[in-house]
Amino acid sequence: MKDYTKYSADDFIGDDSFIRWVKSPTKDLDGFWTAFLAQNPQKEEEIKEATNFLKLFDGQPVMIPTEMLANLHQQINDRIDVPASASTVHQIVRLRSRRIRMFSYAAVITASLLAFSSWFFINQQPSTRLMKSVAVPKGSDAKVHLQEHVIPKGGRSLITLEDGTKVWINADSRLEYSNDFLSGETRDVYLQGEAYFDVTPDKSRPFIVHVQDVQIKVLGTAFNVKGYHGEHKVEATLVHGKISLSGASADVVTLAANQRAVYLTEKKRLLVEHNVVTDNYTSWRNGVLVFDDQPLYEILPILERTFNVAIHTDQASSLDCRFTAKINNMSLDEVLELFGTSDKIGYTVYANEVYITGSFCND
Amino acid sequence: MDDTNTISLYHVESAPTTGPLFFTNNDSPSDKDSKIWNAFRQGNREALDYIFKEHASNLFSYGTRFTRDQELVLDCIQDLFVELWNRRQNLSETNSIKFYLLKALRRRIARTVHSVRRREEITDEVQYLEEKMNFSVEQIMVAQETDQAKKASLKRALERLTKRQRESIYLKFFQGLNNEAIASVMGLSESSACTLVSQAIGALRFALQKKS
Repeated sequence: MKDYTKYSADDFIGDDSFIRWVKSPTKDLDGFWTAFLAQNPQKEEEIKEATNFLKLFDGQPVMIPTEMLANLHQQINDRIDVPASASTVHQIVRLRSRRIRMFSYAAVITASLLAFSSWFFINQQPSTRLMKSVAVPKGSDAKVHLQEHVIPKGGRSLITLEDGTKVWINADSRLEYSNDFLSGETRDVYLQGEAYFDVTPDKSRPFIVHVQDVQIKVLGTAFNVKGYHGEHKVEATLVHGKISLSGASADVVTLAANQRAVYLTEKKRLLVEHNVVTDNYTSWRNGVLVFDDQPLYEILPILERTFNVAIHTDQASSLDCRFTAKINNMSLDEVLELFGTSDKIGYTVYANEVYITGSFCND
Repeated sequence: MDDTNTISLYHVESAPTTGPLFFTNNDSPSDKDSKIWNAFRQGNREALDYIFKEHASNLFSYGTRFTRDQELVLDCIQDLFVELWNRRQNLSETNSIKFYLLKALRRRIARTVHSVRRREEITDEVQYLEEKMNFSVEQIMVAQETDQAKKASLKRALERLTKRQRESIYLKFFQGLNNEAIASVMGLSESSACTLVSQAIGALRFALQKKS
């Protein structure tokens, strides 16, 4: 038991029982301190002084506006209510909007060259949700049931369709096709994200990949398709064979081997690149990421999907820095460590979030 | 039986994993916190809502003393709650939720505000925070009715404290934490926290007495 009879005003101020009595008295505390005062009237002065001092701090704390509070509560509930993989999607969407705001102010900065070697931890997650039947209201075929393969961030998967077509599905992507895939005049699949197709030839039934508002029509061939929501473009890279690609603008372009088409979904423009090194666009299937003089704002989303993280940068100008790199079977830490070899860059990893500070560019 | 007036925190039908949680008016605040916290750890959504309603505003108030960026503080609180929920099975026990949350938020803000350094360099968290976080004076609220002269001298006195002294004063007098909890939140030993608090009190009182 403390000997309060020896307490000075300063001692009372620092005493937790005393503080609680002044700030939020309970019956017990009141009983104790009233009795103490009655028995030790000589302490009245110190107690008064201490009480006055503590009362100085009685201001109202900064309050969070009710609306803000309700919003915050809602956001937390939203994130808790979605399944684990989707909750990271939410985070990244939120973070990405911040980043985009940033790089619209960005000055264009010079290219820098950073040659990486090799990388990747692969979660060959068998988390593909197979054979989930869902009624999908897609156009007139409202009753059609779809097979759905969903690959979360950090994952990758290879599936074989009924016709023998092989599809490698990249992280954060979804592939759907109907149960009666083989009974129609065409073989239709619906893609969000990125996939590599090695299509079994069947001249009587063309294979059609629907990605955003683009259709890619195929006879028999191997090609990569990439069309993530929010990126405003669809890319198709043809390894061999022949594909034709048509967007909403009714342009149709036929690609030959080693050509790459980029359809800008907002501008509705179709660009074709010749003599591309197709391997750079398809090596993700083997866990190899290749960046060829690409700006960071293209690279970061790929790293985010591959490693299932959200990456923040504090310098808008960094996003325009260009890199050439080949990352083959490296962990996220190793990749970051490579970035970090420049003194100007620091990073912190916190759960699924990566914070990178400093400038990436070598001026 | 008036004294054992039970309050049901949540209804069975909405329970994901646990039975209903009860606490009584006889429970001390720490008993109550333990019960609510344990329900939270077992996945009780009403416990989550309860904790949010009870503490979110206070966390915001604390967080905004470190940075003017309210959005950042809101984001940190959001992430904090989501992560606590996702990791709920691995959380340790506590009988002071407030203290637990203040501590977690402080760390999170520190890491978010200044993520400059590489991980291996952040060995001394305390020193790191000390350099990077500024606990602002103007945010320590002073009673409205206090006369202006006294208020001004208190403010000057607070300004003369170190950041850590200021924060300890805030934690002690506003958050009502004891020295042990202050030590834990601020990453100090208990004896340094006691010294910190008593020096801060001494300095404040000295400054105030000089004026009056």
